[in-house]
Amino acid sequence: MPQIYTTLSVGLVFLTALSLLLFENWRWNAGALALQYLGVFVLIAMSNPVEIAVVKLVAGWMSTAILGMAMVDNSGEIEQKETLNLPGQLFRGLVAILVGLIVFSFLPQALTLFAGVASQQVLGGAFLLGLGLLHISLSTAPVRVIIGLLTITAGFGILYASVEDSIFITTLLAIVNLGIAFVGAYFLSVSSMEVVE
Amino acid sequence: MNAVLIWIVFPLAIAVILFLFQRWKQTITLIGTGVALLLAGLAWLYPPDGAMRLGPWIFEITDRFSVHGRQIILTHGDRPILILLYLMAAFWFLGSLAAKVPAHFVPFGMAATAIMVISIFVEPFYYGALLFEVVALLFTVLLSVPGKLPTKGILRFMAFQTLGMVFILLASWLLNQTHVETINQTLLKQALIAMGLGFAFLLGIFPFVTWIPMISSQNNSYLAAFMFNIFLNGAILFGLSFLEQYAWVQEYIDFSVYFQIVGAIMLGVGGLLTAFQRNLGRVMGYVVIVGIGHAFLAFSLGRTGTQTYFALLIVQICALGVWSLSLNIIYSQLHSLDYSSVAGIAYRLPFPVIGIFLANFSLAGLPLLAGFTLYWALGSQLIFQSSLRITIWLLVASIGMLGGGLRSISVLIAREEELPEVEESTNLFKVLLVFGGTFLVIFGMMPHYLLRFVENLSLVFQ
Repeated sequence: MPQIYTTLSVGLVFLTALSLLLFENWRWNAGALALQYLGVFVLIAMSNPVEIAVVKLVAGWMSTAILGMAMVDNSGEIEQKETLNLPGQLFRGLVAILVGLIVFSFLPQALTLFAGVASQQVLGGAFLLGLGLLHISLSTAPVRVIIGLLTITAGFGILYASVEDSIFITTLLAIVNLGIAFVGAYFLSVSSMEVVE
Repeated sequence: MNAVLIWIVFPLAIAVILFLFQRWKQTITLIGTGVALLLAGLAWLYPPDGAMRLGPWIFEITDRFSVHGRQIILTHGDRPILILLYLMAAFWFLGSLAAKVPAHFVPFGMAATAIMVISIFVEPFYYGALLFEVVALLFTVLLSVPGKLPTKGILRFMAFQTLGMVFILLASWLLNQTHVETINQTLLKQALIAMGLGFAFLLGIFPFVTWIPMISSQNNSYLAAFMFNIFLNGAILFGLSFLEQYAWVQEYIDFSVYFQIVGAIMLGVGGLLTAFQRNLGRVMGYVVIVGIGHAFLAFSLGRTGTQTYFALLIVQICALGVWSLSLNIIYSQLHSLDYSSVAGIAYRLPFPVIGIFLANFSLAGLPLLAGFTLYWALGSQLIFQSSLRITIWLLVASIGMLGGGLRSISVLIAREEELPEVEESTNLFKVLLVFGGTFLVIFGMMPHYLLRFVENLSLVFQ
């Protein structure tokens, strides 16, 4: 795959993870998640057969669709709870850039650890892991935590796929990804569900 | 016939069917209990790699099942684990008849148990980390009761389990790299750090312990105790398989020393904080943390310690069952477990209070109750190994739990001018309490029966 695509994908995953962190609008979030999985697909396709990378892409888009549909159903409630103001966004943006710089500065060490793995894959995976971790650390709303966890699993998926190309692991990671999205959808609707006791 | 079909696919199918019939909660609970008992019984009678005779038919049970080149292997030696897991599930399902739990408890509990069996027996075993994440997701849904928002404890549990999965997979990859080539000390150190972090997240080891008291105080007590019991002990068994597979690492690091340090920290944190809680649910949560500490100390002792761990596990199942059921009854009446809300409730709900007393003091190690002799054995073995400082923490934890228990009881029996009107406890609850309480007293007075029962279980991990 031409290097320009992979380098652009690293930028894409960073920007999408950043926008997930900064904006609480559910439409933006669904769009950013979908784009993030496109970047993940390109980075995984660098070292794995396209079939494996497509599984990740489809599982990621399905997760986005599951979460997106649930967010559509509860859009009114979500919009009411959106609390992030400009100073909050600035703070998050600065911390995210700091995380990005830390990840970038540790790239040589990470490349030693993941010997033989392309720097774009390590950088893309580590960006998503770092920003996902930041996301779950700064959020208390269930749907935000779910988005953070999806970001973490996407980042880990890139790193792990570059060192282990097992179909079984790809399947299990796809199940975990979909499972997290299902739980997110459940969280969005659980408070209005009927109690069966 | 394949063993995986019997002990994994069949319970999963039953879980799906039961999920569809949630309206008949009592019926599905009884069916779920029956199926779990049947599976434990089948594991007892017919070993996974033996033959099953049903009238004139004889079925050969094959012990392995392949998926995408990977295998799930249930051998004859794994039988005690199967029996234990399904008996635990049956115990909790049966108890749920007297508890106020959502109707999806049994289907989700059954599915979680079956997936846990896969995660313990899958080859390569480190894939189990991913399956534990699936189990964690099931428990997340189970604990998020309809009609209420998911609690912070659940969110934290989910986040920690996801991070645990990431670190365990990373650790196993690094360890595989280390094993293939000549031993690289730096790589080995990184692998061990990743492994430590992974299991710390998975098992709720300090400082990643906060979700345990949060869940026990914010969520349905019975569901929380079920999750602590099944999930944490399943994760401990998974951890033991992990260490068994990477036995060569023990040439470079003495795990027993680290187990003792972790155990002492858990005992210190759990024991001391138990004494300062103001919520009955949180008290139970901190006692669970102490239980993890006991498990680590037991495993640090090797063969005899493994037997002690399984004996402690049986006591923990009984005690947590009685305790959480009692808390569930109190919460369903008062909608709070804060000390300020439950003050004097012993005069209205004496049976649940007796349950809390028996369970708390058993796990605290009060003489004549079930925990005492086991803690005594654990402490003696530690002193025999010259680990006096660790033994002191064992004592501190017991004192902390006794203190927490005494505070709870003093609040529950406090004289209040106005007591809330409550419904009388059901007869089923009283029967279950009598059974559970009797076990706790019998095990306390005659612990040799308990130790003989767990002897076979401990053989699995020698």
